[in-house]
Amino acid sequence: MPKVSSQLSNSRGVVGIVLLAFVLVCVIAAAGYYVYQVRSGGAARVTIGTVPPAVPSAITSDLDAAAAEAAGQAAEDEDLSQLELSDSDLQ
Amino acid sequence: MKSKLCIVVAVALLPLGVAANNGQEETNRAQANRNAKADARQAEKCQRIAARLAAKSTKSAVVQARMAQRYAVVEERWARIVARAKDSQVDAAKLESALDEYKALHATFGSDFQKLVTLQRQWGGRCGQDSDVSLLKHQVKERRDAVKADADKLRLLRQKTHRETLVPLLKEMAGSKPGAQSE
Repeated sequence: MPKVSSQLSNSRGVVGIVLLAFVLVCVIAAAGYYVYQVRSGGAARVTIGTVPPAVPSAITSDLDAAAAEAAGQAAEDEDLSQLELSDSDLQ
Repeated sequence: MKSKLCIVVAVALLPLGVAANNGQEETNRAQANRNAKADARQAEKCQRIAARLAAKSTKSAVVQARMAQRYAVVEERWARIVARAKDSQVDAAKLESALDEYKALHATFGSDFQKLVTLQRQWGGRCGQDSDVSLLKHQVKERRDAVKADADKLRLLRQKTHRETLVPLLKEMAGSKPGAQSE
C-alpha cells in the first residue's frame, strides 16, 4: 500500500511540474508577443483602440466626395518615417 | 691638413647619410601604401553610401509621386463638386476657397519633398569631400519634418473641409435639386 501511495504522489508531482512548465511557456510566449507588438507598433494601436472617425453618409453617398475621401485618406496613410536616414544608410 | 681631415670625416659619414636616406624612403613608401589603402577603403565606403542614398531618394520620389497623385484626385473631385454646385445654383465659394488653399499647400508639399529627394541624391556624390554625417542627418531630418508638417496641414484641411464645408454643401445641393448625384 505505501508503494501505491508513493507512486500516486510521484505522478501528482510530475503533473504539477508539467502544468508549471506549461504556464511558464504561456507567460514567455505572451511576453514575446507583446514585445513584438510594441516593436511593430501594433500594441499602440491595440491599447489605444482608435477607431477611425466615421465618414458622414453625405460623403459616402456622393461619388466625387467619396473618391476625394478615399484618395485623401490613402495619401495620409503613407508612412513618412521611411524618409528618415538611419545610421546604417551612412556606413 | 685640416681640409684632409674634413674630407676623411665626410667620407666616413657618407654611408651613414645614405643609410638614413634609405630609411626615410622606406618610411615614405610605407606611408604612401597606407594612404593608398585608406583612400581605397574610403572610396569603397563612399560608393556604398552613394548607392544607399540613391536607392533612398528613388524610394522617396516614388512616395512623393504616389501622394501627389492622390492629392490631385482630391483636387479634381472637389473641382467637380464645385462645378456641380454651380450647375445647381448653389453657392460653392467656401469649397472653392478650400480648394485653392489645398492646391497651395500641395505645391509647398511638392517643393519641400523635392528638396528632400535632391538632398539625398546630392549627398551621395559629396561623400568623401564633406564627411560631416551629422550635418546630413540634420538637414534630412529638417526637410522630412517640413514634408511631414505639410502633409499634416493637408490632412487637417481636407478633414475640416469635408466636415464643415462639403457635407452642408452636398446636403444643400441634394435639397435644391432632388436626385442630383455625380455620374
